[in-house]
Amino acid sequence: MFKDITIGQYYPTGSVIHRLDPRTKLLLTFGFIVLLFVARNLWGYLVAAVFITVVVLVSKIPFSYVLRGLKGIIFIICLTMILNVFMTPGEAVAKIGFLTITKEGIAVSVYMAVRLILLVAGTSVMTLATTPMDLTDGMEYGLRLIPGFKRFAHELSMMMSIALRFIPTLMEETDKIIKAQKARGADFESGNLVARAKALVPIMVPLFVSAFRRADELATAMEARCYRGGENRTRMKVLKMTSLDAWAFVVFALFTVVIIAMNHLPLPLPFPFN
Amino acid sequence: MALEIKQLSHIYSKGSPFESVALKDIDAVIETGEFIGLIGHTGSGKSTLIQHLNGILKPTSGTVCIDGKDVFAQKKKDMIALRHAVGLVFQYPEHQLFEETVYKDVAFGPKNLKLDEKTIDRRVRDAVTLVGLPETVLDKSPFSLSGGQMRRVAIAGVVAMEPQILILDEPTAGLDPHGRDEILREIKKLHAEKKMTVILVSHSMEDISRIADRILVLHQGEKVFFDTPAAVFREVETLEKIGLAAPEISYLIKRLRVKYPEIPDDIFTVEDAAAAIDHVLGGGRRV
Repeated sequence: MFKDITIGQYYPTGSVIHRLDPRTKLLLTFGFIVLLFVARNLWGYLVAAVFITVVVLVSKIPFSYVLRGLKGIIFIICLTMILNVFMTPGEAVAKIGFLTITKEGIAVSVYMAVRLILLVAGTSVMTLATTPMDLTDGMEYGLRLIPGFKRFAHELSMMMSIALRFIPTLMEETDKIIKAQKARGADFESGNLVARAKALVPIMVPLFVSAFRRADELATAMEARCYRGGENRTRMKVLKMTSLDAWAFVVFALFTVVIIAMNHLPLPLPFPFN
Repeated sequence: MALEIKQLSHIYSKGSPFESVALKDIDAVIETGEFIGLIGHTGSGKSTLIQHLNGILKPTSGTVCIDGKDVFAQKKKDMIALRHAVGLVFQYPEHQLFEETVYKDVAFGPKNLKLDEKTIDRRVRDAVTLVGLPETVLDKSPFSLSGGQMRRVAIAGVVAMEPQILILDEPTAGLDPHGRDEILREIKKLHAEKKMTVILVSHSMEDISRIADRILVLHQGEKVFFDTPAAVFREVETLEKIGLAAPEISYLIKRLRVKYPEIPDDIFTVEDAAAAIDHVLGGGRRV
């Protein structure tokens, strides 16, 4: 039931991408998102698509896994495409009733869709290739660099890692509760909206009860061991940049140059992008 | 209702790096009215197996037949009807309670069966009495009860659906010895009074040896034994190799039999052992 969610799901292959420092991966993913908005024409997106394809190939993560993350946003993509096709003013191409399809509309909607797909693909690769622990360590480091955040950086990342840690647990729990209620004849699939919303009560109540119980137990266990985060706490695993990270930055710099160059090169563009 | 498990296999997360085989070609026939003990070490596939029996999990290959009807070849409606014939009590069932009162929670199952108010009322009261709870708990919040009572409420919730086959996944886990004995006694009563076919999952040989007609032993997803307690406990070496053991009392009997070969070898409960020893050594005297 919850097998389609890829965010926060680590896929171990031990590839070069997996071995990169989490800070590098976070920074480069952020850079990749920025570049998606810098790119202005089809050639730029083509380069970005090739780039992300190569990254996925190097990471040895099956494409089907990366694409699974897209399932959740298909609706959003379709909606933005439909809206953009009809709502963008410009040179009219076709007319359906009172709706007008414009050349600019087609171009904008295609750009939007491509941009969203690449965005999700890029971030999915990062979460699939980084363990949640590494990810929060990287985030903690990044947060500390923001002025005023240094004091809370550890607490925030601790909250993040606990939240990430409990996603699979709570999903398992939900799955178990659903099965148990199904065994008692509960029906989650038929009926109207109200009936379906009501059918959720036998799942939500036990789930909340167990989430609170778990949180309480965890807090007690941490207190019992005198947990104090943040100050003067050293790490067992210190994050270390290697030559691998240097190479990643070099490759990404090249990619950046190519993307910007694509904006300025007078390359021919097909209809409707010219 | 006869239950037939045919060549059942289940593989979790097939085609991902987390793939794991949980069940391998399980074959078993369970007759109407039998009391089956399902035993195995942690991760042996017990819980996976029972979830197939009412169609909650779909097998990777093989199938389950109830009264000759293939559970997985049914239309959705018929499958739900079959699901009602098989009552499944999950591990830690008290975690599935959600209603404001015990009465409403126990009534959840019968209500889903679309029964009339009167029948529901009768079934709720019956079920609560059967699991040994006083009627005074009916109006209380299930969350205000003790752990053992909450578990009984949850079991009553399944019993109230009056299934013909009742499956319980470690119903005594996490209970004190007193609570454990009571729950087991009540399950035995259900079996005797309601003529239900019962499948009891446990990893305590002591519990199972007392009440089961036959024992199904699983190890790493494969069937090792499916026979009477006497036959299974004779294979102590194999049982120990797969991380299980015969009931403690049978070790004592085995040692005693070296000196007194007239003691029978099919003794698995403390009561039987006491009687046998009394018979051989005491000759009527108190020992």
